[in-house]
Amino acid sequence: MVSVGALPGASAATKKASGSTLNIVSFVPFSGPDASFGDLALSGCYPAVYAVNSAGGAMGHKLACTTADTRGDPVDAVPAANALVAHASNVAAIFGPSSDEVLSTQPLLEKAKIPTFLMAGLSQYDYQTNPYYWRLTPADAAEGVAMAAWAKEHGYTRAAAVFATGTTSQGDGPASINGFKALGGKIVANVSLTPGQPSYNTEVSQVVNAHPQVIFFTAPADTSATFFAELHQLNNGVVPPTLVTEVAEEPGWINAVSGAIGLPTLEKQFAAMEAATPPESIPGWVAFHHALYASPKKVPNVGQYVDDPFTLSYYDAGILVALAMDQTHSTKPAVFNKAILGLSTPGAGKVVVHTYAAGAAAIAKGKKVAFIGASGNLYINKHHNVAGAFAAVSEGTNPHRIALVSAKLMAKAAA
Amino acid sequence: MNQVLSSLGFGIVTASILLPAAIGFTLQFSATNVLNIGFGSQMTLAAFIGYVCTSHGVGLWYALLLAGVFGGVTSLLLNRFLLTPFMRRGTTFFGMIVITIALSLVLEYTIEAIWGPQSVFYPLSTGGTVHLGSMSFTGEQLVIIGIGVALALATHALLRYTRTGKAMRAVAGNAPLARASGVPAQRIVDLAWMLSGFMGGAAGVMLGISLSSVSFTMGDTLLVEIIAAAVLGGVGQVYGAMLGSVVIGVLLEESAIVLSGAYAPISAFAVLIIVLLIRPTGLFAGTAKAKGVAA
Repeated sequence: MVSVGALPGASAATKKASGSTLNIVSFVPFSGPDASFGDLALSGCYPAVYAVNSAGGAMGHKLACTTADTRGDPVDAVPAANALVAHASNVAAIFGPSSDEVLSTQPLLEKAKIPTFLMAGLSQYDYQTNPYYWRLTPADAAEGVAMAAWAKEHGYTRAAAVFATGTTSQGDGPASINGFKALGGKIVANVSLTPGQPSYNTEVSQVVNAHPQVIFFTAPADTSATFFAELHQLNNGVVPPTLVTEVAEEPGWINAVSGAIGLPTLEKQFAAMEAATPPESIPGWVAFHHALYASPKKVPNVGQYVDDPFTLSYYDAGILVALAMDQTHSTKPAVFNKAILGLSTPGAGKVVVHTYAAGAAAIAKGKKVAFIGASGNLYINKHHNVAGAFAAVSEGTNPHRIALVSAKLMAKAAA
Repeated sequence: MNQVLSSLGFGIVTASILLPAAIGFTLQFSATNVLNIGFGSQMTLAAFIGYVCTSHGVGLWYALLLAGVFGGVTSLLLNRFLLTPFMRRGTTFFGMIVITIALSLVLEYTIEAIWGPQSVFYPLSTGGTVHLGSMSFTGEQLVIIGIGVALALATHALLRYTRTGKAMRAVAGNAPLARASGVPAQRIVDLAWMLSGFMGGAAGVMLGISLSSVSFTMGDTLLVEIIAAAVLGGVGQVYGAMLGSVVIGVLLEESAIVLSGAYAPISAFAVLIIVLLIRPTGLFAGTAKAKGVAA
């Protein structure tokens, strides 16, 4: 294997894009409670498109990032999905949908037969067979396993599991409970929160009376604010150490819970399980970082995305799609989609590249290529899913990585 | 047993929020035969006005009062300038429901457009809890219970002991006859909407305190429980709404202990359905039957 690749646009012979523009559509919430998902998708799309267009485009076509707002509502997302499918002729890839709307829009998006990079961690997609669906970030269930492993690693033996009802908790909850038990821990309270209730005092008192050492928790922002405010009150101002999932890193969640219990308590007592991103020294990340800041289009406060696993995965997805078009000499999704898996998997005889420009140049010379980008080696499995390592990240307005979660314990918890 | 009593306390708090909300909701129906699905959004708007007040240094309970006044005025204006013109044109009962659904959406997204999708907060105390046997209450919760009970008693006093209240009962029972008897029906209707808006506004702030956050969808999430309390008690029956609020509020909390948090809303509505199967007009018959809404 030969590793090639410096910064985007560094190819010696840069071809000029001359064909029609192909769109990468971010089909996620841009408004409503999960409005932050929109910038999350665009934060990866913009640098990918910049990198591809700087090197002349894919198959002579420029790429562009467009948006389709689902509002985070499964009902509102349906007309948006219908509109996307109706105008699918110049769509190269879809970034999304998120867990909010994936189930209601799946039957519609499947008709489009376009590479779709899910933002949904739902367990329904852990073993999915749709060839056009890809998930380049770990499933929700992996977050639950990470919670269990982290709690065990820190000596906790009594945990309370508090999860909201609804699709977003289907994977985390059972995985954390089963994983903690597999590691010898005891679940002293298992409580379900139905979002939208005026009070969770009864559920809070169940948790308080069980005296857990740690809480495993996932719920929407407003539900979380109410629960923790009541826990703070009923437990004499004490919130036990609490492990949360990536949803708790959204600004809306942090705003809601810090407003309810105070930022110091949030920062001190909470840790989020997040898919770990590779070191910033790897060439793929360096190229991504350059493109992120060089791109003329940027999301607000772009610096917060430099190590976000979704951002990195969408950047990689955009590059893979463009390379797939080059490799198959086609802009038809039905043709180039098949090439994505091979392009992400190093192997004998393949040139490893870290930028689109290097990959396009190698393909132009007839070489087989493997792209290792900002996320590192993706190890995409046959269900188009990735496993991934996890890290504990502090909660609050300036999150930082605390430490990686033990992979050994995660494997034991997941067994 | 301790858990059951503890949940009873929490249920009393929830019932205290539902009390003014359900009274307000049912007052509107009794006065004008309008099932106002926009009531939840009106509550939310008033809650945000309460937030604006507190963020400018107004005390929390004064903000509740101001939010109630705001709710009353907007409710009066909505009835006068939106709903009444449609009713005068002969819009059907279900047509009016659709209009109130549209009102709900317009209000909700206007709130989001002004204050954004993220939650805002009232300045709440971080003091300890008061223990009454197995029940625990924060200071704010005790005040909420007090306000809920006070509003219910004030409504009772109005309806029972004042001419205005008697006139409201007359209009609710038979508006044409009341008019023919010299009752200023339009003025009474205006007053009913003002009172209901005040109740809703106060309930909105109380809900924001209970939730520890105020968001643009919060009123709608309670609307189903409000309607359930009103229907359980008998649509248009103010005393029925009071009883329905207590039943629904306590059931929501007790079922979380007996069954699970996931089943809490279901259990309240299961009881509602059972009651309606036995008594289709609700616990207090009367207005619903008279208005031909229930069989």
